[in-house]
Amino acid sequence: MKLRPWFLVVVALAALGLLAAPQLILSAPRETTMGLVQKIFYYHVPSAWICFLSAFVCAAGSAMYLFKSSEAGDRLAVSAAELTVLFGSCMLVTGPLWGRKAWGVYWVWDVRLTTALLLFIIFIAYLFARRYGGPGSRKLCAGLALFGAADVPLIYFSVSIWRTIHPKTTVVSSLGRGMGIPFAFSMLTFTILYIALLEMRMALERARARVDELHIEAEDAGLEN
Amino acid sequence: MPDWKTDMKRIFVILFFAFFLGGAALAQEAPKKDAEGFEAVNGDMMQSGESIPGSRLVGAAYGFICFAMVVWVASVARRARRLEDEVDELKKKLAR
Repeated sequence: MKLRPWFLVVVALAALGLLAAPQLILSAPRETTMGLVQKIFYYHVPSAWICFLSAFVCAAGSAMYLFKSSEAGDRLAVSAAELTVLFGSCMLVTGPLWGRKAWGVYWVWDVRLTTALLLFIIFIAYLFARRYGGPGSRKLCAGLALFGAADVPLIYFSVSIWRTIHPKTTVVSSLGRGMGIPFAFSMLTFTILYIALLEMRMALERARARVDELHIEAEDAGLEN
Repeated sequence: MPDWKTDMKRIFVILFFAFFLGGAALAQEAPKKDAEGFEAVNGDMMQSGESIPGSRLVGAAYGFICFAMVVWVASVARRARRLEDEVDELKKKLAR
């Protein structure tokens, strides 16, 4: 599996960020009404941000595949879809843990939570269809990815449109320096980590494409049926 | 040993230590006084009737993220190993 030359630099930056982020988060002021549990915010929001970003990356790759038959686009899409599920699971686990303390329950069928769960399910469906869908599933999945990405604005704006228990998006812009700096650092660290993980997953797809080429060569040479 | 195996091991070790050293730092929190109007408090602010301490929920959230990342990286490494074996086998076939 061949990784790009910049990959180890990105991994090192992500590791440094992951080491420094807890220190910054701990030094951030403790929120008055929720106390310590509010610190989940510094992991929950970046997980959600990366989940949404990854859904858009997957949609972009899928569009490249659908409209330009780009194999690289397809590789990008499947890699990003897996990361959407990974960070989506982080978002959907850390959120209820925070909610348990803030709201008294792990889960409510609130529009923000429900649409976020829907996004997660769509990308789980994407991965299942890719794995078991057989020939033609790549185009089907590309369409599904575009459909999934369309859910992201709905999730983001849901708190502004409907009455919901979930905090509004304005909470981020209202953070003071004490909470804002650790939050921004955490967002940056997760973004760098995402770039590293995406490259790692894409390297796997490139290796898979190479294996397919070798299978074709072996078939042409009469070595395989 | 092929290059990717060495790379995967390095990535695995770096991520493992980054997450778990971060987790250790999280366990050593000391409340700090700030100058921005946030109210400094001691303890967990557990309300009456509340049974789960906030520190446990924060630990569970951080722990889950560490676990998910490590499992995913291990899964990619396992899949890469399988592909590498397949490439070796195909190259041998083609060389004959």
